[in-house]
Amino acid sequence: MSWIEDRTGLRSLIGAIRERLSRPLPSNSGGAVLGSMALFFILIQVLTGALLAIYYVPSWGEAHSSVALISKDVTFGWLVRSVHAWSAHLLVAIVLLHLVRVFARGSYAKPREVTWLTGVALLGLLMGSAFTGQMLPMDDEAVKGAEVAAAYAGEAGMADLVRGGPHVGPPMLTRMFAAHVIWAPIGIVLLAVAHLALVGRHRLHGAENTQGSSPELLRRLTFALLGSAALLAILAFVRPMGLGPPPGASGASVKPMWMFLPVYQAAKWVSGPATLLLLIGPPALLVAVPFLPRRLAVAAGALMLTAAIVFGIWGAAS
Amino acid sequence: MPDAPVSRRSFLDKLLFTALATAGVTALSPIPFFLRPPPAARPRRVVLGSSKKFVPGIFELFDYGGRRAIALHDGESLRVLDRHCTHQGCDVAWVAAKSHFECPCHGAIFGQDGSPIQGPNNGPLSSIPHRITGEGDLEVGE
Repeated sequence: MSWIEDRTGLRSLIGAIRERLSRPLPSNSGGAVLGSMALFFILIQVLTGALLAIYYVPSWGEAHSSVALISKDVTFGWLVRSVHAWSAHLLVAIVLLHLVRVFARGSYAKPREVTWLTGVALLGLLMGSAFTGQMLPMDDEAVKGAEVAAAYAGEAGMADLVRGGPHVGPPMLTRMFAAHVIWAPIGIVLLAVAHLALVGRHRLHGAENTQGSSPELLRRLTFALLGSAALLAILAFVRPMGLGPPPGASGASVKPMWMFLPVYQAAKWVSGPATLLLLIGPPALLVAVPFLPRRLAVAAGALMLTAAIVFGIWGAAS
Repeated sequence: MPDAPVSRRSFLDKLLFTALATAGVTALSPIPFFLRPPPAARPRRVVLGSSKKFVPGIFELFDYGGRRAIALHDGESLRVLDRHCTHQGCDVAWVAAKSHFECPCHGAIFGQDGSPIQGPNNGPLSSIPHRITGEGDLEVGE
């Protein structure tokens, strides 16, 4: 052990991390583990995604059958795929809860504006990953979703950029695949590292000046980790992810993933450039939040949250 | 060895850590099974067309249930051979000019009937069951 320690300093590194995680928590910090749970789900995504990439074929004609192979023939393939998909849903849900909590407590205020901004960028990349990931199995629903996404991008004059050509076709799948397995993950890892470093630097809201050492956070992290893993396992085993028919099989229109339902529903009432406002408005508000007067931010944020919930439920029910 | 006093806290911490480690190992355990590719589909029958087209000098390379195979006439009879070298399983190449098979890995040579001629091998190239159907077609398969 001392051989390794002398050459790598591993033990002192672990000690330093442990010390960092043993700083006392502020009161009312029960929700402080949400961010850690998100990090856990990100690690799950990296691992299961790397496993799926072993069998997945990113080709317009072969993608669907390669996912079918994973789901039906590869040992535990259905499990790996289900964990990847469910973990994606849980990840976005946890990050949204994390966002609402940080917003409600005003923890984004000086000096944590950049922490907030990296968090907003992370949310954007994670939702982008959820969308691009949903297209990869190339079932009927995925291809219809791709059409819709290209149409939205078209409002901004960026349809070609998303499709990689004049129509939704093979080049778009290649782009979505590259975005899903290379660009987004690189961005997410870099931003998550920055986000964590900033949390370490500024400490938790309300704990800036506390001294001493407490095992409380580590203990809570362990419980959160076990709870997250159990939830994930239950979902993956009880509701394994299915695979729709190949494209062109049905004429039915599709609904987007739950996280896009508010925009989906609201977009039924607008058209043209106003659609763009619908897409750019929410992220623009999130970016502006730390620089707005608290009252204005709270009012705008509450309005947006209410609208998102109402339109989301409406969209799901319609 | 006398038992050192263990506080309830530290006992619970150890319990928690054990639970975490167990969950981790359990979660990772399917990975080795996942990595092994599923077996290829069961060999199906392959019909190669009229058996009359196979005269000496004519051969056909084809896939049989994921295995590489060759059909040819060696001058005496129709042969259907598995093209995997009996040494280490490399794909042997059919050298038409010399009417024999050469293994790219260790230079083994097999005759056109699959019999070993020289180089490292574990017997002749294996023959794949085949028959001539009522219509005169060459059908490969069990």
